[in-house]
Amino acid sequence: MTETDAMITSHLHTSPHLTEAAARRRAARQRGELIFRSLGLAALGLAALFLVALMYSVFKKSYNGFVQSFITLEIPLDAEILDPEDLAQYQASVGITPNLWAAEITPTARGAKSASRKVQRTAAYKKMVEAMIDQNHGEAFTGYDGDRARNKAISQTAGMISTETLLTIRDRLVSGEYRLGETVTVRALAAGDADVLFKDMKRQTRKNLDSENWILLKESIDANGLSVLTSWRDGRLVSIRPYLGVPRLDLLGWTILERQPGFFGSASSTKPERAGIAAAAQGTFLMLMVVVVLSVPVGVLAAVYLEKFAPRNQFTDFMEININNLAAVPSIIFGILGAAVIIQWLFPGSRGFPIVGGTVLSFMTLPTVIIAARAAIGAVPPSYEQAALGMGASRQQAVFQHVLPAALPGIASGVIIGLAQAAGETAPLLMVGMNAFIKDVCEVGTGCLMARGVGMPSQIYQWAADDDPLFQNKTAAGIVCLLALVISMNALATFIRTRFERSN
Amino acid sequence: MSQTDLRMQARDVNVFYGDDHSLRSVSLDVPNRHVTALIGPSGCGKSTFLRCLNRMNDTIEIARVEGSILLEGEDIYGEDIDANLLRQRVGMVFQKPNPFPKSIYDNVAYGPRLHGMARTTEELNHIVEDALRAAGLWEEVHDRLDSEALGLSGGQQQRLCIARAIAVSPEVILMDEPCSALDPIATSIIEELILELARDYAIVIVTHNMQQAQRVAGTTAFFHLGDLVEVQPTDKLFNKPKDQRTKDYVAGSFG
Repeated sequence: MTETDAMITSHLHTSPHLTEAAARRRAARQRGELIFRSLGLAALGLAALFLVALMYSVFKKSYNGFVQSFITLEIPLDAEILDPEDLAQYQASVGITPNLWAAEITPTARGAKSASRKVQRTAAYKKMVEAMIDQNHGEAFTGYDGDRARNKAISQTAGMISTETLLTIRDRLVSGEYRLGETVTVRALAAGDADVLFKDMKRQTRKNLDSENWILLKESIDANGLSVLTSWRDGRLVSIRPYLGVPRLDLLGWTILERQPGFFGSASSTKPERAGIAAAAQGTFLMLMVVVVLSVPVGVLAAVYLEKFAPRNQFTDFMEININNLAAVPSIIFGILGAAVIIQWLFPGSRGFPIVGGTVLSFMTLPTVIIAARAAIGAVPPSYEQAALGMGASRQQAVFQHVLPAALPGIASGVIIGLAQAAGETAPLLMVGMNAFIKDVCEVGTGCLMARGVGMPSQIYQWAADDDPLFQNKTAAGIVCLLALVISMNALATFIRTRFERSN
Repeated sequence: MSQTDLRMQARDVNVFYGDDHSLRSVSLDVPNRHVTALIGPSGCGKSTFLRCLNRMNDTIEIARVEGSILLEGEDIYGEDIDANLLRQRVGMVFQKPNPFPKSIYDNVAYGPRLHGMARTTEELNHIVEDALRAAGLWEEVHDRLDSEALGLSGGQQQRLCIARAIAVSPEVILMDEPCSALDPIATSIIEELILELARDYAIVIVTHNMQQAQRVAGTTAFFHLGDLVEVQPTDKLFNKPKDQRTKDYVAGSFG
């Protein structure tokens, strides 16, 4: 052993880092780090799990909200059911020349039986559907104990057609597009409960496809002791569950189509099958416009002043603290402010107007915009301003010509995040009455800002309160729309920030 | 040196940052067509003094300047003096090249546009070309005036800043350590440029680099702890300093 080796060996024996106690300390430290890492991973996994569970339940439920079942029917417009005189009178009253009859109907057949049903009642049109079912599919309704039970079953079957479609038939009759006596082909909207049932059956059928593409889902006995086959074949529902009271749908031979998107085109409705997001989306859009118009100029100028021009004193410190605190004030308080100041005091009667909702959301967004804009302005290298000042530019010129343009990407992303926040707020909307039942999309250019409106979150809130299963689906669909809006806005903000701030 | 050859005269200038008395009774003349270098260790007040000459200290809220600084015999801290106009007459080049994030052309044209110096596009083109030529940058950039100024090298950016400063026809150019962020080759190009510009302008340059002062300056002023210790023709200051502190500093004993 050389002298150097000996020195190393003795060092090994004496080094305080190589003792057993040191090894224990090291092991304990490594164990601690391992525990910390696994706890972190577990937390992350749990968060991801919650997110996935939330997304899964929302998206799964939303599918039925986006698509809609339609039934293609041929309905004879029976003159024996609707009162032709009443129809003629009604047409005259709305300024349409009465023109009731299809050409091929002989005059003697007109009003052969007494027809007493009025134009404006949906009962007449439902009766037409019932008559059609009775006539064309009568064999499906055999074995009932008496006419009353049979008629009830037929009536329930006719109830699968949405009232909305019955009203469409009426409107076309009144306008002269349909005439009494002809048989019209109608793509009828399925009523809410039937719609949910069709979708449910279709999904179950998909799971149980057999080799012949003919699926027997289950066989059951209905209230009248009839065997009900629940199955689906070639996109055609051939039977239905007994609880609707509808027997042997296979004998009806109706074709049911899905995925006609009506969700984005229509406003809300008491009928879940007609309810769409359009009016709410319009309301949210209008409010966001108001927010942009109000909070961007005010917020950016306030930020410029505070960051670049305001003297440092107690007053500005006080302002700064308050602005930062305002960002954390619960949104419902802004709603109360709007209700008390704008609606009750300044402009009575403005309840539920998007301009009021937008103003309240502006109050709420303003601190976010100011804070983001100040951060963006503060992040601009002082050299730009110095260079401009050194050239003889005034403070104002330096700030507006050089600092502000360089801060714009940051300001824009702050504004968009503020807008996304505002788009998702529910409480202030409820406080200022932006939760009205709006059944028509406001026609552009008719003062929509000053007409009662609804926002997407409050629309979702309304639907969620209804226990109809299709409204629950519409709720989920509305949530998906709102999420898509907010996520895309945040993505845009991130894009602007990374894309444009890099270049400085 | 006669009175008329002096562009600027500082008399008993005191600067306070809050309670901190950072510049004490400094009196210094800035001759025309001449380079005056300000040297001294960090925190000695040389940059503070430089920033008094075009009132850049105005932008610092707690700064207070006392004494008088005359430009062509007129007190620049006088009440009827517009600080913005003053900064047009006394241009400044900063430590780090700070072109605007715009095109090369727009950088140089910024000042002339700001002050309405050109009535037509041709006039503006002339001013830009002259300034870029004077800054020795024309040959390198004349075919890409519309490209981003930030795409230039550090040395080119600094020359662009010099071109931007001279585009507004200043009477004095202040330079605050203009080469400290540059490599030696870019530095030597800027130094040559400074010597060339000194034929037309009064130049005041703050530098950390004593060799640089020796290479470019006709007069050198040594600052120490807020005092102006000594002003001499550069040769004399470095070779026969009068004050012991100057002697120690130029010998490299401290700083």
